[in-house]
Amino acid sequence: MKTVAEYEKELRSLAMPLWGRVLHHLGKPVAEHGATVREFWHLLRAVLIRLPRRPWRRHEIAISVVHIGIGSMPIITIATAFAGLVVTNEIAWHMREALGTISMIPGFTAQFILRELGIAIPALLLTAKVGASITAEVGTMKVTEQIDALRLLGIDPVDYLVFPRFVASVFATACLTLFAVAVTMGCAISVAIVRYNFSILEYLNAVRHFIGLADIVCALVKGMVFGGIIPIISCAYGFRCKPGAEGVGTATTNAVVASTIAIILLDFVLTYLFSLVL
Amino acid sequence: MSIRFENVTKSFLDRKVLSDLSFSTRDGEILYIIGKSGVGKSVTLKHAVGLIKPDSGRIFVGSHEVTSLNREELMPVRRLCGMIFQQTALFDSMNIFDNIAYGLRSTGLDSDALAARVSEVLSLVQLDSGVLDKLPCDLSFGMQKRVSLARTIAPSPAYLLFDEPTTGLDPIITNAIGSLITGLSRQLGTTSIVVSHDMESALSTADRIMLLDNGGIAALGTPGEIRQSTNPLVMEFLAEINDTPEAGTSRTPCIWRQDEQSYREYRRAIHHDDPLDIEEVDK
Ligand SMILES: Nc1ncnc2c1ncn2[C@@H]1O[C@H](COP(=O)(O)OP(=O)(O)OP(=O)(O)O)[C@@H](O)[C@H]1O
Ligand SMILES: [Mg+2]
Repeated sequence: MKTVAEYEKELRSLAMPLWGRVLHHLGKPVAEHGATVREFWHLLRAVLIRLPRRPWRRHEIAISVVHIGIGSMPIITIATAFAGLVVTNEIAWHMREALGTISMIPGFTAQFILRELGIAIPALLLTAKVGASITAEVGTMKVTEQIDALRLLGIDPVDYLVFPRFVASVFATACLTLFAVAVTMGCAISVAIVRYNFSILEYLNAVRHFIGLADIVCALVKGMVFGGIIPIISCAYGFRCKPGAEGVGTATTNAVVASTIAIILLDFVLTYLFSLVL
Repeated sequence: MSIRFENVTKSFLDRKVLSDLSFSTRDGEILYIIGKSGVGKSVTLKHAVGLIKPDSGRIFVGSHEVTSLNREELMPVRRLCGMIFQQTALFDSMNIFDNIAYGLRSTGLDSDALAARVSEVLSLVQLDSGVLDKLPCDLSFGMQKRVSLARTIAPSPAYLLFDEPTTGLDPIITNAIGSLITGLSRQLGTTSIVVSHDMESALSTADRIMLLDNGGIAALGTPGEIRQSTNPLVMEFLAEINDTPEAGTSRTPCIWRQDEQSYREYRRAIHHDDPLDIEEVDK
């Protein structure tokens, strides 16, 4: 049963002009996302401040590294292996059409893999796999008052939940990025050898001229940045989770969408910045 | 040694939950907060330990003004308080032992003393040590409630806050938990606030009962006074229990019975009365 006041309110909202109603409906989600963005900055700051301090919660970090790193290896291996198989064929086709030669395959493939493919694919996979599970876990803890219980025991939830996942994710993503680059390269090279008759020495020699230490450092930096923002965004959505199973579901979806967009935007920004520096 | 609310007001979005709420507990007393669902009982409890900040007003725990403390300064105050959450809030990635021991680790006990304390509180809530290496999801809800009780009392807090410790449980466990709460409060001399829907157990165990309605206090008094009250909401709650059959059934908790002597001594020392006399007055 609605009360009279509620009916009156509803009538008033119907009497609002169209743009007023649109703003009214837009306002709430905008305000909510704004609050989550604030939560994100708060968590990022808190985690960075926490970084130089001891103790480092080695046990929780180790568990998270296993969960994020080892646990994600199968899916990353499969996804990047196929990406590697595809990329050589693609580049070969374009080169033949545009340049009439395929001798540049090694250099182009290696650069493409090290700059984008080998980094973006694992990051996006981790968003779906690790980010979603972090939001669901933190969100459930929030909904079932476990986070309040932590606070009451004098334990800072940022210290206990966010910090270990942040450190573990940065470390694991850096390693996974190198791993993914290696797998993609390996598959790209095997296609080049089998289908386009390169010899392995010839291939590696060509790669050497296109790839330097700086490229590998850039790849690592990107991987670490992506690895850092995934748990922070996921935890921010988890901490702001609404009650109930639906709340956890919505928070998880929002976290995955937000992390994906953030990774794509950051990829653009970082690539641009590196191009200025190098 | 009391919890004091001064003119506390709190709104969520456009809904005013607490308006100008003022009350305070006495030393070592059990204060029951009763009210309809959604009236703001849990919100009131969470205010006391700074999990929610009021829009205006002040809250004191002992001599600490909770409302003026920041996150770090709140930590020592929170260690004085134990709270049972409405949904048990056990850490579901830890086994029962770690759940109970977690709050104890910061007290600097060595591992033997820690294990001893854990099994001690576990026996207080009448669970056997077989549950220690299980996960919370392997236990029934009633067992989880008791584990959360054990976790809360393990560090011997000076204040105990219970959010519906018995809702949704069968009458036998309800009785057991009710008696546990009272027994512990009496034996340890802690100040307790119990949030509940259950007027019957409030009348039998509370020192005072407070009825919340519309963000304020509808009635506040000893069980005897509450029984005499003509407040319509109080009478509504009383009507619920007046037709319970065996009025003569004693709800004297089993822990009291076990340790009746020390409880009587405690009551005489603190309240200058005798528990059995009180029960007769109440009936
Ligand atoms: N974090 C919050 N954000 C917004 N509203 C809230 C929040 N916490 C509580 N409320 C609102 O405050 C009101 C009081 O909630 P509270 O949980 O204190 O009720 P309660 O008296 O404990 O009820 P119950 O007996 O069902 O547990 C409810 O209307 C609830 O929707
Ligand atoms: Mg409640």
